[in-house]
Amino acid sequence: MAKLFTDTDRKKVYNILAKAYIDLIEKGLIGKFERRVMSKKILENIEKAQTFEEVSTFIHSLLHFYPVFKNAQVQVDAEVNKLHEQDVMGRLQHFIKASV
Amino acid sequence: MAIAMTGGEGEKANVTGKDLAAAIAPNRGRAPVLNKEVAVLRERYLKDAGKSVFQAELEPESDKVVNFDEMHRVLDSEQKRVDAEKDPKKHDVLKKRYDRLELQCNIYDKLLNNEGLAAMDNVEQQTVINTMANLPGFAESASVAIGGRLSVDQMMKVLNGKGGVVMTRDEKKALSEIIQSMANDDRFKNRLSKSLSTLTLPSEDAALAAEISTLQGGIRDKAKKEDELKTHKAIADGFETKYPSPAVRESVRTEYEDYQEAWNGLQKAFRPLDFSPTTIAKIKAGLEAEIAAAAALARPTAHVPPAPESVAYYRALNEQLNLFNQVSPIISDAAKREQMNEYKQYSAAKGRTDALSTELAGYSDKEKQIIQKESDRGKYVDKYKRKIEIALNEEMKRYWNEVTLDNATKAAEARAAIKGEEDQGVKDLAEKRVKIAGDMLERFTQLSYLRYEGGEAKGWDDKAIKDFVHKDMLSRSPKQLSRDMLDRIIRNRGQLPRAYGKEIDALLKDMGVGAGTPPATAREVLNTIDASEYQKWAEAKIPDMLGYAKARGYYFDLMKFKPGQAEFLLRAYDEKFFANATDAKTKYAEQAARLMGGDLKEFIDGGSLNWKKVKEALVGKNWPEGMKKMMKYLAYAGAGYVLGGGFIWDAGGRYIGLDKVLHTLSNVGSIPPTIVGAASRAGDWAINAPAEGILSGINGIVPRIVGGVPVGGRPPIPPIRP
Repeated sequence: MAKLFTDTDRKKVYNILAKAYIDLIEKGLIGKFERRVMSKKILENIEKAQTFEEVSTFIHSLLHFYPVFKNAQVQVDAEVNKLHEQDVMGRLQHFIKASV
Repeated sequence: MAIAMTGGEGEKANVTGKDLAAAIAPNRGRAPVLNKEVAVLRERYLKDAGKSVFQAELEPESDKVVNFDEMHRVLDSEQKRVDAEKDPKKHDVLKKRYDRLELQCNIYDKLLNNEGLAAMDNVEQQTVINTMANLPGFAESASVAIGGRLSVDQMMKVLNGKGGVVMTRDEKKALSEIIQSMANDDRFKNRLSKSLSTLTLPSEDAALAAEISTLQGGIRDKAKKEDELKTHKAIADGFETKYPSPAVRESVRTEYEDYQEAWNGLQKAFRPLDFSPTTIAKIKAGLEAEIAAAAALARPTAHVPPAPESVAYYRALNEQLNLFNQVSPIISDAAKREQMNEYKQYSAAKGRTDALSTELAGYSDKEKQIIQKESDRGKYVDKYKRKIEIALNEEMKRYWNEVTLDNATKAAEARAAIKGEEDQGVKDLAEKRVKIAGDMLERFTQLSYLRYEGGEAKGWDDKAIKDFVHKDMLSRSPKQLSRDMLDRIIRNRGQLPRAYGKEIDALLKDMGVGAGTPPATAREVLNTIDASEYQKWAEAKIPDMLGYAKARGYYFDLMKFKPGQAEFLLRAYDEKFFANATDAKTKYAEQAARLMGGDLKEFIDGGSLNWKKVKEALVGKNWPEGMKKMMKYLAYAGAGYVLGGGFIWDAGGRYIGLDKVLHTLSNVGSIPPTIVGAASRAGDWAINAPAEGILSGINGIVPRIVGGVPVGGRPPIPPIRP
């Protein structure tokens, strides 16, 4: 069950992406026009994202062309994994309680 | 020097050249910011978080788009105006205006299209630098920023490209960096973009421009026509000059027209290749032969009329012959032929002149229209051109005011805050030094006049005490004496018991001795204390010292003064000194006056000496004695304080706390009990004697008391007289 993506989570993701984005510009790996396109894409996708999985999928698509977002991917995936772990733990506990 | 702002509002901090230098070269000595755009984004990220970074990227830049195409169109139209102007003076004026405009447009183009200062030619770069040089304070701050060697005037010469100033390579490099940095600063360029992006011409201007262009096309060949008119006029004038009489010209005209008619007739009839005299003669001969032949046929014979066609033919031939006869005289006369030719040209020229004049009159109308339309257009274009001319200057000034001066103000405020803290620190230290020095004098003066061996007090430094009374008092001012006391404490601290020595070392350190580079000496630290403090200490400590010395048997008041010495004392110790010294020892002032035997009773008001009266009394009197009395008072005041120091006299002048003190001292072991007993029976005189006895006891001397007066030892302090 995917946890709902809160505003705090959204803000966190924006921060992660912004850091990577600034790094991209600093290294001169993106042109002026591309920047506008990417910024628009990021805003659209992150605004409408409902779960961390959706964010992860989107970042994965960026990663295809811009390896600089690797770190962002790792951080978002870590959140996704954390939620999965909580989910598994929850089920185990439920199982244990039920068997007792 | 406070820098004035251009067009700024409100109060600003006092900005100096140093602050401006810091603002225009903030990265001097630091690694350069590689990407200003990145810096801006980072700032945004830190301020407004990540989302704002992406939102910033999508902000419309339409308010910064400069229409360079339109700028070039305006330039082109100006160029046409210049080219169209025939008057040399006006042409020069227009040309200069155009050149200025073109220069500005090129500068904007290169600055705003990311080519920067480096891409500009010398004239363009110098224009930008001149703009910077005219900013108030720029030359001064640039001079400071590159090292401060050049004066403001020299820097202005360098900036204006006037030469005559030698700069080192580093200075040139630093200046170049400052200029480049300012010219290429995004904040300046953004301001310039925003300003120029508002430049736009209305649609009416385009319509007018098209009309003007059409009109100008219509009069493009004006010069050619004018030349043509000139040529034709010359021909016409030439003929009229040759034949000034109108009658003659009329006659020539008539003759020409007849001739021309005849000539045209002949041309039509014969279509000769040429009408040279030879040809004409030939044709005429043939014609005459034909006429002769036709005459025969046209003549009636024996009542037979000639055929009509023969007669007509004969007549036609004769008409032709008449034509020949008309043209022959002209053709055979070269001068006539010339005249006819001249008239022909004249006639053509006159006709053309009239036509051209009419055409050119039409051109004048068009020119008037062009002028009118240009004037109408000027409403829009002049504003546009003015903006181009001043944008660089205006935006540079705004950038200077809003960015550089703002940064410099912040630097000035930071500097003032640091200075304020430093000043407060200096003030605090000064106050601390005064307090510590005062404490040292209070606590260690007497200790410094003791003699020590191995850190143990063995006695008094009587020589020093004696010198104080007999020499120093008569040769040193009060301030010098108090300073001498401090110096003595510091100098002799090594001899004092270790604890005192360490304490004085610590106090000196607190005062700042040994701090700084080079380390401050005690002398230097004491020199920072204001002379008025030394005076105050003198007023407190000199009485102490005199009292102390008196206890040791050195009676200042028993000394014989020479007039010169008295004079010195009079000058060194004014009534203010005594008044302040008295106040310092207020407790004992009354007592001291009584101890002196009341000699100065008449000068005492309410238990205090009236120094004005004292001085008045001394004038004209034996003032060496007067000074002695004054010093005697001091000595007694000091003695009362030093010897008292916790001892209290009652109103009658009797010591009322002696038993307690003696008891304490005896417990300490310094006073033999016999002395204590003897002292308590001594009565009034014993007020002083026990004190003497205590000291003597400390010294190891036990005076014998005979008849209430001790023998041997030091002379006692005289008893109180009512």
